[in-house]
Order: sequence, then C-alpha cells, then structure tokens
Amino acid sequence: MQAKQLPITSNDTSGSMTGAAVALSDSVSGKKIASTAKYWRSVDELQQTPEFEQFLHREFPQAASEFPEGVSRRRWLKLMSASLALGGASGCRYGPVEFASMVVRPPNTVPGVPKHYATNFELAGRAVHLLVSNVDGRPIKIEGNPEHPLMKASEPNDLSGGKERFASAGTDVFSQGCILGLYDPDRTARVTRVVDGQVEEATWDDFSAFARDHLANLKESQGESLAILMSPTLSPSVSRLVADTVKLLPKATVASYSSVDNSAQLAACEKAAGQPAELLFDLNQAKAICCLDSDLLGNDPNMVVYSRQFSKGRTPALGKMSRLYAVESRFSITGAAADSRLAVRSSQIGAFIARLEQRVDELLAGGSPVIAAGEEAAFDRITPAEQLERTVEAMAEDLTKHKGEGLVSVGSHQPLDVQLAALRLNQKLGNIGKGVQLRPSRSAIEGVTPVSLSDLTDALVKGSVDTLWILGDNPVYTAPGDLKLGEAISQVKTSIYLAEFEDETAAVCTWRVPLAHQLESWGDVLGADGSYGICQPQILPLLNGKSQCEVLSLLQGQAESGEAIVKATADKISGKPLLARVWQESLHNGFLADFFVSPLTGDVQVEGAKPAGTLNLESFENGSLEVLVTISDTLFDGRFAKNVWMQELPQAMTKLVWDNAALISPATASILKLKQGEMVRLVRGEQSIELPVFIMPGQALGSITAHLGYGRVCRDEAVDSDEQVVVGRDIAPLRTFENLSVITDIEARGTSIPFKLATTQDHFAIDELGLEETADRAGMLIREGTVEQLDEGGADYVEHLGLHHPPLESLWEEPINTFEGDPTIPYQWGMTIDLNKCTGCNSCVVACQSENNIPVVGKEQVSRGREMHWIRVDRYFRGEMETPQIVNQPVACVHCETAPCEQVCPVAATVHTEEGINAMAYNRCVGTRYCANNCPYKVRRFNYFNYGTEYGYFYGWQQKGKIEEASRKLQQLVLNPDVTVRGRGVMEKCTYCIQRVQNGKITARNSGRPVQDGEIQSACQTACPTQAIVFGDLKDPGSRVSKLQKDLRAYAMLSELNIKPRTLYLTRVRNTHPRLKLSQQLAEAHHAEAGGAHAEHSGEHADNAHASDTSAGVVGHAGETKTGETKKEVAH
Amino acid sequence: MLGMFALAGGAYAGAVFLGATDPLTLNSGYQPTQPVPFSHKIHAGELKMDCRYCHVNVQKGAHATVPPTATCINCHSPIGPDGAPKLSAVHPASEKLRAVHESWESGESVPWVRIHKLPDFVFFNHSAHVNRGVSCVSCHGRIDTMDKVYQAKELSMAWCIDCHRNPEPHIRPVELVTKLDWEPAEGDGTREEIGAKLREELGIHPQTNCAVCHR
Repeated sequence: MQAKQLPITSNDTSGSMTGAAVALSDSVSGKKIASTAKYWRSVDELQQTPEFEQFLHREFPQAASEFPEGVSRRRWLKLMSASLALGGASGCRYGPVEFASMVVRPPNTVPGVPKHYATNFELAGRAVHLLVSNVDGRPIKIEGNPEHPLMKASEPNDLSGGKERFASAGTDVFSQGCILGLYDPDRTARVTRVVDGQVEEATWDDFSAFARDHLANLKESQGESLAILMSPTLSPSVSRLVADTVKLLPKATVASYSSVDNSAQLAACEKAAGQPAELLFDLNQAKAICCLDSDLLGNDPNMVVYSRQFSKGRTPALGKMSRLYAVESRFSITGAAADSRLAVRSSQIGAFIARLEQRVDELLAGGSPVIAAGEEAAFDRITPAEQLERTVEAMAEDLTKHKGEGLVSVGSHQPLDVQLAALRLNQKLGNIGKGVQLRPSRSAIEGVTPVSLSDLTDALVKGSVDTLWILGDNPVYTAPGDLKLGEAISQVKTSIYLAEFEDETAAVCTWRVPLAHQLESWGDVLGADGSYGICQPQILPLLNGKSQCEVLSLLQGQAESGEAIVKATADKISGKPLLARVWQESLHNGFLADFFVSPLTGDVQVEGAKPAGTLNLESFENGSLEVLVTISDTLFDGRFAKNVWMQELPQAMTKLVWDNAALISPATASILKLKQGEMVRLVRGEQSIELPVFIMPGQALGSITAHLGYGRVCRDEAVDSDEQVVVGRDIAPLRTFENLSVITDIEARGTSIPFKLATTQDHFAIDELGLEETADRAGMLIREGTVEQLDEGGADYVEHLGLHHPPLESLWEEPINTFEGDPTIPYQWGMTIDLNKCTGCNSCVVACQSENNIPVVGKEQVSRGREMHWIRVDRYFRGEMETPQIVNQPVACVHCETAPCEQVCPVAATVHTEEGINAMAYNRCVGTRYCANNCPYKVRRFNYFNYGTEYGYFYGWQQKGKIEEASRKLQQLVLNPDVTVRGRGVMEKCTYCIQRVQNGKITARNSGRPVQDGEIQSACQTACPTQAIVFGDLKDPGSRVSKLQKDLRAYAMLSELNIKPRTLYLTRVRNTHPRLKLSQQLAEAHHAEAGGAHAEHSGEHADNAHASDTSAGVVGHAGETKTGETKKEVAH
Repeated sequence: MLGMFALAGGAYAGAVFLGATDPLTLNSGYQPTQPVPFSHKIHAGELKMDCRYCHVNVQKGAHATVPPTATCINCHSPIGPDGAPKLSAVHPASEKLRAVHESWESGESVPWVRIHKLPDFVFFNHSAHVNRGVSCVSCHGRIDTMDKVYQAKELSMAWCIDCHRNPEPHIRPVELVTKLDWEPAEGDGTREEIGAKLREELGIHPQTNCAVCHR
C-alpha cells in the first residue's frame, strides 16, 4: 500500500517549533493539526479552515455565476437588452470585410507566417538573449535564443546521442511579460515640459532645440552644475555615450543607483580582483552548491543560465546529481529546489558563514568529519541548534570533499565582510576560476567614477545641481524613503526624465520625454559571459518614443540614429570597423561571433575580518525583528506594475496575486499574535508601514519578508469605473539608504484590521475530503524520493512511491488503441514534466498566457477562483510547519487517452484527435461545465464573462472607462492571430499548443519530410529555463519524450483512475546528506528497504500490480523495459 | 383548431429559420462590388494568367494573399508627369483603374472587399491543400469564368468534412491545381481513380477531428 507515514507520536515530537505550530492552529481555527500530514499546500489546508473547505467542496466557490462586484443589476439589464438589439439589427450574415493589402510587399514576407528575429537587451538588470516572433510586422511572442553561446554551453537535456536536434533556450518571466508592455497604452506618448508650474505639450523638435541651447550653457561651465542619474547599465552604447558626455563636460557628476542592492558584492569583487569586477558562477560541473541567502535560481540576474546549468546536474539517469544547500531567511525558488534547507535570518548569515569557514578550515587542516553515531533522530526532530550544527558539518564535509567542484554563493544584499568571507571560502576550496569566476565588470564606465544616490541627493538639496538628467527606471519610486529624492529633484531648475510611464519621477521633472520600449529600439548589451549582443527594433516606435542612446545623443547635440550609435559601439568593441556582412550576421545570430571575454585570473585578495554576530535560531524579540526587502517575483522593483500579466501571475512561493504582504513564519506569527489576512504595522523608529500578514511556512524565525514594487497605480478597475487602483503597499518608507535590503530593529504591531488577500494556492484542489486522505493521495500526485531510494529501488522505484492498485483494464476496446496502430496516423503527441528540474519559476505560465491569448481577470475574480491560466504551478509543502520542503508541480491538461471530460460533454465540444490530443471546440461549447466537474486534474477554465472584450483588464477593448477605445485597440495587437479569442460561456484549457502542432505538421509536410523531434515545441517548453517540460512524438522511439517516458522515474498522475494521461511526470529526487534527512525521507527509505517483503504483505495484489502505473500513456512500446540506469557519480 | 394553427405556425417559423440559416442560403452567391472592377474572366480565363501570378503565397502559407498594388502596376502603370507610363502601358488612363493608381500614388491600400470568409474560430491553410493537389476550383468554383467574383460554394463545416472524408474527386496532380478547366485525359481514368492513385502515392490522410481547423 501507500508508503505509510510513521505516526509522529508525542514522545518524538520535540522542540519549541511544533509547540508553536500547534499553538498557532489553536489560535487560528481551534482545530488540531492532523499528524499524518505529508503533503499540504497551505496553512489553510493543513488546518482545514472554512475557506479551504469551500474551495474543496465547490470547485468554484459561492455563487460562481454572479456578476463581479461593480456590475449592478441595472447594468446587467442594459447589457442584455443591448445584445438582443444587436442580435436583431445585424442579421444573419457578417457584414462586408475589407482587406488592407499592401502597396508594395517587402521581399521574403508571407502574410500570416511568423518570422523570428534575434535580439538582446537589458531587462530589469538582466541581459536577455531572445528570439521574437513577428507576425505581419507585429511582435507577438518572446522566446529564448538557443543559438546564443551562453545558452549553447548550458544545454540541459542532452539526450540526443549526437543527433542534431531543435534546441530551446528558456527565458525568465520578465522577458515573457515584456511583450505586453509594448502594447500598453499607458506608456508615455508625448514630450511634455513644465513651464511656470504648468505642464505643456511639446514636440521632439522643441526638445532638440532646447537640448542645443542647454548643451551650449553646460559647456561654458564644463558641466559643473550637471548631474546624471542612471541605473548601472549593461549596454556598451549607453556607457560610451555617458563617457563621451563626461569627456565633453568633465565637471559633470554621474550618480548610479540600483534598486536591487548589490553594492557590497561589487565592492568585494573589486577588492578581490584589483579592478571593477563581478561574479559569475558556473554550475555546470558543480557537485556541492551552497547558497547563503542567495537566490541563484530565482532573483539572480543570471537565473536563466544558472537554472539551465543546475538542471544539467540533476539528471539521475545520466548519473549526474549535484547537492544544493540553501540557508536563507525567506523561502526562495532556490530554497525549494534545494536538497537541504535551513531557515536563518538574513542578518545572521554573516555569523553562519563565519562558523562554516571555521569548520572548513578545520577539515582542510586535516580534521575528520563527524560521523553519525548510530541511529540519529531525523533532521526535523531535533532542536534548531542541532539542526544548525548538522547543516554546518554536512556543508563543510561536502565542500571539502569536492574541492574545486563546489561553490559558495551569498546574496548580493549581504554586507562586505560576508561577501569577502564567501570569496575567501571559495579560494580556500579552490573554487575560484572554476565554479566561481571573477569577471571584468560589465557596468563600469570608462573614465567615470559614479557617486552614490545619497551623495547626489545631498548635492541636489544643497542646490549645487542646476540640471539633472534621469535615464529612466523611476528612481523616485524605488529610492529609499529617508532620501526624499522626489522633493530633492523638484527643487532642481531643469530635470530631464526619460519616462516609460507618467510615473512618480515624471511628476517631479520639468522635461519628460517618452522612452521607447526595448522591442522598438536599437541598443546592445553585454551577456553574463561578456558576449556582445545587439538589440534590433522589432517594430517602429508605436508611441513616439526614443531609446536611451538616441536621447543621450540628442543631449550631446549629435542627434545620431540608434543604428549608427550601436554600429559605432560594435566597431569599437571589435577593434575594427565591422564588415557589412559581419554586422548582418551579428543581427541574425544575436551575438557578435568570435568575441569572448575571459574571466580574470591572477591573485585574489580576500583578506578581511571574519563576520561577527551571533546565531540564534530559537528566539527573537519584538523590536529586533528583521525585514528582508526583496524584489517581487513578478513586478521586479515596480517597473512591471502596469503589466497585468505580471500582476495576475501567482508569486512563486506564496501564490499571491495582485498584492504584496508581510511573509511571516507560523511560529513568529503565533508569538506576535498575528493572524493571516490581518494587517500588521511594522515600525522602525518614526517610520512605519502596514502590510497584510501572510503566514509562510519556512520563513526564518523573527524574519519578515516584504516585496518591492507595490503601492502603485495599475489600471482602472472594473467596468464603467474611472477609479485607479493602487495595488499592494509601498515599503519605501521603511528602507533607508544604509539599509536597503535587510532592515533590522523592527517592531511588529498587530492591528486586527482585516484584509483580503487573493491567492491561488487552494484553487483547483484535486484532493477529495480530509487531510488524511490528502496525505495519502498527495503521494499519487507528486512523487518524491531520495537518490538512495532510486539506486536501491531500481525498476520498481516509482511504484513504491505511488498507490498500489490491481491491474487496470478497460472493459471495451479504447479507440486510441486503434489509432496508435494505424500507420496512416504518423504522430502520437505526449509530454513529460521533470519535477527534479522544475524550479517553479513561472516562465511557463506567462508564456502560455502570451501564446494562447489568456485573459486577465483581476483580483476580485481570482479570489472567486476564476483565474484563467491554462498551466498552474502547484506548490506542495511537505513535513513540519517550521522545516518544510517544497515541491513544485506544473499542471496543465494531461490529455488523458480515456478522458473523463469527453464522456460527459453533452454536445461533444471536447473530443480526442487521432493523434492523442484532447481537443476543445469553442464554437461548439454550450458551457454546461460538466467537463470541469469531471476533470480529476482540475485544469479546465470557464469564461464567466467576455474577459476578452467587455470585462477584464487588458484585452477589454470594448469596456467603458478611462482609456479611449483607440488605445484599447492597441492592446489587442498582443493577441496571437493563430489562437481563437474565447467568448463568454465557453470552457477552455491547455491544447498542447495545437496551433503549433498543426502549423509544424503543415510546414514539415510541405517540404516533404516528417516532423523532426523538437521541431514542434509547446510554449511552456520553449519558455522553461531548465527544460523540465518536454513535448514530442511518442510514436518515434528515439524522440526525447519517448525516452523520458521510459525513464524509471516516470509516473502518471492519478494513474489508478485508468485515464492514461499523455503527460507523465518524472519524480523529484533529493540528494540530501544522510544526516540532514527529514523523518519522511527516512521513513520512505525504510519502506523501500522493506520492498522485498512488500509483495507478500499486500498479498491481494498480483505481482504485476505495478505494471499499469507507468506504462499508462506510453504508446506502442508495451513490454519494453525501462531504461535509465543510475550510475554512481553522485555527490555523497 | 387553434392548436393546429399554432403548430402549423411553429413549423412554418422553424422551416423559415432553418432555410434562412442554411449555409447554402447564407453564404453562397455573395457577390460584393469591388473598388476596381477587376475581371478574373479576362485575366485568368482569356489571358490564361496563372492564379499564382497574383496569389503568390498560396503554396507557402495559410493565406493565398490578395496581391499588393505593385502587382497590378506591373502591367497597369499610371501615366507619369512626363505623359508616359513608367513600366508597361496597359490601359494607363483607364477610369476603371483609378483606385489602383490612387493607391500607388498615395501609398494607401486598395480597399478590396473580402468574399470568402471563414469564421474567426476556423483556421484554414491554403498551402496544406494546394500542395496536396486540391485545386482552387474545388472551393472557389470556376473563377476563370467570373467577371465579378462571387462565392460559389457554401464553405460550411459539413461541406469541408465531405471532402475530408472522401477526398479522391478533389485530388489531381499538384502541377495542375491552378488549371481550373482541367479534365482527365482519355484513358487516364476518372477523377476518382486518379485521385485515389495520387492519394496512395502521396499518403494523403485528411483528418476530421475538431482540432484540424479549430484552435
């Protein structure tokens, strides 16, 4: 039977944490925590609150068909009568439709056939290397550029066996989302200036005329009164133009401010290398990876590359299995991916690394590692002090065992001494130059030493600056509260702002000029490996904007075109004028060939004092709490606040949408008497902010996490409303220039003011009733084991993790069996999702939204469980409240061969194709919702309203409100012309990107060949930075998906229902150090060892009881044995 | 008695509704007036121009594509300032060509009216059909005999599926797809026989599931 959880009895439940958790449950709901809880999705679920039960019993809670708030009965009547009238007036045939044929069609264009152009730009401090699909001159979808050298070197799923295959590169969520920003009518579209306190409209000509006089004045004083405020830039063209400006005006001041604080890390690198430098990790060969408050797979600017490299080292079938440690205060994406995790306050990371360094020193000096004396208690059954002890010991042991094959990374917000300690550790372990590289700084500007934002503000207040150029990025919003930057800027005589939006900074500047979107402008960027990539415009500026380069050139009196500027930079970079052919090739490929930057070699200076401080994981005092301020997974530092895809994207770990919150661990909340869904006031000295409380298991005790980027206006709310909606709360008042990220000495005061947060975590719960049942069933949904289990379990491994059931047979011949054997049907589509590679980064969710025209419904609708995302990332906690592990599981329609939804549709609107895709015919659907009720995976989504036209946030171009209709039509341009826009009353769900499948088949057929493996990739697959998702043809035994479906980790979710899903999952495998294993891991290992006796004690099952589990969904290869032998090359 | 009237009335209303919404009634025969009285009969029929001279992308993409103005100008170039047409002079001063010449000079599109239109939730791909030997005539009728083009077939789902279930009569050698008046030569067999042979050779297996057209 199901691997039964050892009951946790009171005598082995020790430690204050569990007590705290129980106390919390008493205070919240009065219910007892079921002790058998193995997997749980949220605190609500673990405690079975009424809110959760509502979601469980009723798929769409409470009055699912009610109109949203804000739509009155009167309006409903109006709508209805209007649609009746329209129905009568328009008759039965559509009206005349005009073609807008071109006058001269550009060469090599076939209308309706997408073209892909390479581009590179800086987005949210990250260098991104992309391919943009362009349909009829309109960019509609973003994908990664697999040809880029950085991506090629980190190809994770190399199962090719030397065969040339179509690759994919993956992106982060911001790249996927930025396409929506291009068509945002809220972007600044006009040049404006303030004259005598009044805003006047101006033109670019006015601005250039102004710039000429302005420059002449500045030249007289050699730019003494000029200051430039910019974010650190990765663009060599912008750097060159700023350097030129300083040459021209040598007394000018340049200030650099990054909303994400990494100044200490850069300072440490500069000290170590003796020149401006930055860090780049190489996870390709790393066996022991230690992340101390560092989110390499999540927030890091290089997360795409790191995720790819990490994923490469997580393929048990190829014998590759690294070990990842995370020690952190908040639950990060890296923490969820980690094999072992310890929650430590950010302010105590210094003390932790000092302790680790000491232990590593001892081991390097010949000390011997501590060996467990006999049977030890599980990691979650010991006190925090013991947990700390064991974690340090295990990390030190692994790091010294894998000298030169490991790395230690600390969060970029950690102070200088911690940064130096990390470098020092890496140097002692011989990791520098291997897994840890120091590289020349990409953002250093020749001849310019930037001053800090604080110095600039002082100068502004003193009045020594007459003219301020602000090169974008809304510093007034992102600056810490104590600087009062807005007030300081408003005192400056002339301030010029390159405005993406009419935002907080634009409001205090005297000139606002519209900044072009990256997809509209010429530019360039240096990749993490120093490669040079050009940004080519995909479309002419839609809203009259100019790029940073062009405006800088204007301000220097040059007025050069963007292309000329970038070309000049490219010439300079390559040291000689580029041939036209080379230039064209660079544009085409997305990088300048044969141009590399090597890592810095030479001595590394890492001397420094050991970080001081105490480590206390067991208690805290109110008043000495810490707040970790971090960028939002979705809005970054607020620059995507107007992007409704990002607003509605569930945040990676909390699954919160449309809000930020104070993330607090259950024990901390219990001690502070804070409750989920109530406001808390966080006070530091005279400053305070209020945030809603969100209980997040796994937060460090005494540490609160708050996300940047909120408290800003998003869009006008609902139908017929002129109201502007402020989403979330700004945390700038709490931040100071000295403490941008880790703010200590905080006091938390509960307010008992209720606040409704919208989270998607309990929506579409698959489980039946009761937590005990959940605990049993969750194991069927997500299967997880350890490397040892995989080694020992062999071919039976995956069955031991799942539910055992008698052999499943259908009573009648399934039609799909006939199709599978039919030679005239060339393909059978299928998918695998590798839970071991998935980090839960959310790229797939936005990619799917972009590809499939999925509407945005808003907070109010999300809280009713009506979000429309076709793919969701389920986040399961496992274990105890204070030491949970997280498993992420992306779930979309799994295309069951015997699909339950098809059997209940009264109008046959959802039926199977011969190729195994569960197709959805929208025009046939009458909206009974029977299919959604009968779907065991809960992946079907219903259009309660015309989200595409009259209701909804982005595509609602017919809705009344603040934005003019013409502007609303601009928003429509983001829609994919290959996918139907669904109307009200229609069910929808994942189609395996049927449009890509059909177009791929037609293209292959037209050129007289079969579809090749990887030629057709679903949108989620191309976006996935770890290649966890693989789609392809199951009929081809050589395809990647076929091989993966035969991996011994492959299993079908809910296989016992005999619905034969076409999407199989590969189990999560944790490579946890033996001494750090949680009780579940130990219990399961114990169960696996007893596997031999297993068949006997469940005697009612035949020996082949496991057979149907994994063969479900594998077509045409029944009887073939599983491949994927595990070799021992694992970091033990 | 009253009941019978009501019944008869209902039946009549039903018949009118069904008749009026039948695709044959609704769609076929639609013949809008175009901004330029372009005659397919002259160009494709009498002058024997290949369909693909104008509809260049029919084998490459989903859309056959309406030609750009430049294609018309290849032959019907307007009279320039020097009094002579720039390229070739076929009716350079014809009043009927005014919309084309205006478009050429102003850079604005000729506002052609669309005749064959499928609903937005239907995705038809020309290249998938034409490259398999399905002729233009199967869906568009004898365009080469039409002075003013009208919709000849109903373009309904049932009509599409008829052919997907029984494609043989509509398959001919690929090189002959634009020869609208093609008839099998004596001794080659019937259309069905030729179609069946080609179907076998090319491996044509049209599908009839929803996702073939609805995405």
